[in-house]
Amino acid sequence: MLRIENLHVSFDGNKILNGVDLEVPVGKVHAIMGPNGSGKSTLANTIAGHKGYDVTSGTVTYKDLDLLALDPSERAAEGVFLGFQYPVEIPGISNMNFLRTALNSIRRYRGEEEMSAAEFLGLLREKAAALGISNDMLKRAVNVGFSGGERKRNEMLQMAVLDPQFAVLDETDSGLDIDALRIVARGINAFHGPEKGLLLITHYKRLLSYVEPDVIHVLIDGRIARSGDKELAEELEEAGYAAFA
Amino acid sequence: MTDVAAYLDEARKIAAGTGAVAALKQLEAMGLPTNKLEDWRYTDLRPLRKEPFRALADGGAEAEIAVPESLSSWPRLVLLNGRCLRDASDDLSGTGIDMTQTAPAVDLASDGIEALNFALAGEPFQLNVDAGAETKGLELTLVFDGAPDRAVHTRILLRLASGTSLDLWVRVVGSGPLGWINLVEKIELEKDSRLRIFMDIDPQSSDFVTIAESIRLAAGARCEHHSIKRSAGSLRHMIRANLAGPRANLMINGAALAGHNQTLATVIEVTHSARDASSQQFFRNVAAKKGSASFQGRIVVCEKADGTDAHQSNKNLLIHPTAKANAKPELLIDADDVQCSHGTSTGQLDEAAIFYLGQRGIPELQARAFLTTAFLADIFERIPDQDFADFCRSQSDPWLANHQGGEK
Ligand SMILES: Nc1ncnc2c1ncn2[C@@H]1O[C@H](COP(=O)(O)OP(=O)(O)OP(=O)(O)O)[C@@H](O)[C@H]1O
Ligand SMILES: [Mg+2]
Repeated sequence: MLRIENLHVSFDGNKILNGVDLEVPVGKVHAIMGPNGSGKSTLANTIAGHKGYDVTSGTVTYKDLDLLALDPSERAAEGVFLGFQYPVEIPGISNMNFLRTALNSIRRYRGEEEMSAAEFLGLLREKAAALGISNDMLKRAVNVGFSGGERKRNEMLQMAVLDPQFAVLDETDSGLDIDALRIVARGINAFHGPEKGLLLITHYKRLLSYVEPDVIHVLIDGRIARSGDKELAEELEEAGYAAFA
Repeated sequence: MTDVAAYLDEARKIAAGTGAVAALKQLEAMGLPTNKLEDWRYTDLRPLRKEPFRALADGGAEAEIAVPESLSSWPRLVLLNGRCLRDASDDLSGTGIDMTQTAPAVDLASDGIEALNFALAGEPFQLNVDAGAETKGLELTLVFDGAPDRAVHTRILLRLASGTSLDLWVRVVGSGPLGWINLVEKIELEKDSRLRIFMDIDPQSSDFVTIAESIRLAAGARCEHHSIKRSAGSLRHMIRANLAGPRANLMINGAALAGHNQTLATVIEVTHSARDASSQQFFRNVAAKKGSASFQGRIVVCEKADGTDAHQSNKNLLIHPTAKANAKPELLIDADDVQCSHGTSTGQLDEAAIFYLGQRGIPELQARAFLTTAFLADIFERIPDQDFADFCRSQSDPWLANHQGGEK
């Protein structure tokens, strides 16, 4: 579903990714772990099309599409979703209005009819309830004044409403209390299915006990240093990253 | 250097009546403003340096004028170049509003452009709400049309008697080419009266637009002034308010959009000359490619005005790297017991937010427009008249669509 080959990425002239190779087949869950600053978010942002990240060589192919040739909004409309490590505050735009505009933009791109206000509201309420998101949060400006955990739950709400096909979740589990983690994990599992692909970026094996990965990759210094099954998370927990460098 | 002589020559031939003649003397003494005057610092005065605009002859373009549709639910007066268009206007009988036109009294102009207005506007257009009148609202549609080398000077007086109230829509609309729109509005709010102004300034193709409003509030009077303005070649909008009586309250709430290569200057002076009065100013500017928007806001608190509560907030958004904004807040406080605050900021759209919206499927241009609308949102939310708030929202979207990315 997503194939990354020999990806080299710089930011501000600094080389950050140094030849990443990675393939996530449809229906699979892959996880990426790695020390701070190793390039995990850089990889996620590059998949999503952030302009600041300069792809110096390599390819990213998504369902036969040259993903790197598309704008961020086109990638989103093609079904690529990024759950942000640091979701952005957008003063003046309500969560509800934001999501409805996003959903209808995607539908327009796909040549589908826009969703009516009533139908949208029904969908939003249902998904929000499943994630324990209050009506008040839906009316508030996007992420403004949201706690860290609320922001992450809000990312999950966006994923649930937009229903992408491939999701990269960048530390969606960080900063969550035990109950919130359970809710978020339930959201991820509800999203996942044989038609979907998932790339989970995380520091903790805690999330991986709720959402079972098929493969775990260890990213160090902008390269995949090792890949393995879920036992690898245990190994990392005990030995730390130094052993892999 | 602006040549006042050419304007004086023409004005001497036209000006009639003691008020007009007195205004000419003031013009002669003051000259036309220059950028050296603090209150004119950010106004683009280049139009004044060209061939002088000649006053439009009576009647102007009356024949084929397209009168814009009414926007409010109130009775309406339509003025073309300062003259009432009876056919397009509603009958005001029964509304509690009196309309008259009489020879102007001698008045003190604050600058040469106002003096020129006093000399050439002819009989001011006067609206009166007398004590005991039951009034609701009025839409005053000021249509301007003429020729690119002509000027129209229009003068409006409004008085609300003690205890009365009015919702007033004022629309300044350019319907055809007109070189210079020079509008002066003087508002008297007597004790405990209440006025809400909803002002739409859309001069279209005019080169030069000068609007000077002065508002005097007596004890307990309240005024809300909400506005949206689109720029002209060079547009200056001045509001001078004097909270002359105790417990008066004033709110000025406005959004201004400076288009390509255009200059838009907002100059506000709020004077607290009596105690326990309050004033709030909220102002947002958006400037497009090579556009320039400025905000000068002065709060003056006089010596005896204890208990003053004055607040001012200005934010400027530049939607192109070549757009400019100037902000100059000023507090002059001579009383002890006052609460004053002001804040100003200038910035560009948040690129992280544009990426975030993009990642959720919203294309970049649409994301930029969405964020710009959001920047103006709290101004529009503060508007108590739903029709006017909706109108403002409906205006900003097409403007943004036309001013994105720097293309015209
Ligand atoms: N937007 C940015 N601004 C400045 N530096 C950046 C930016 N993005 C990445 N970098 C730099 O690139 C390197 C990799 O950063 P990245 O965010 O990809 O790491 P990460 O693996 O996600 O780390 P963490 O576990 O802390 O989230 C770091 O040295 C970082 O400082
Ligand atoms: Mg990161």
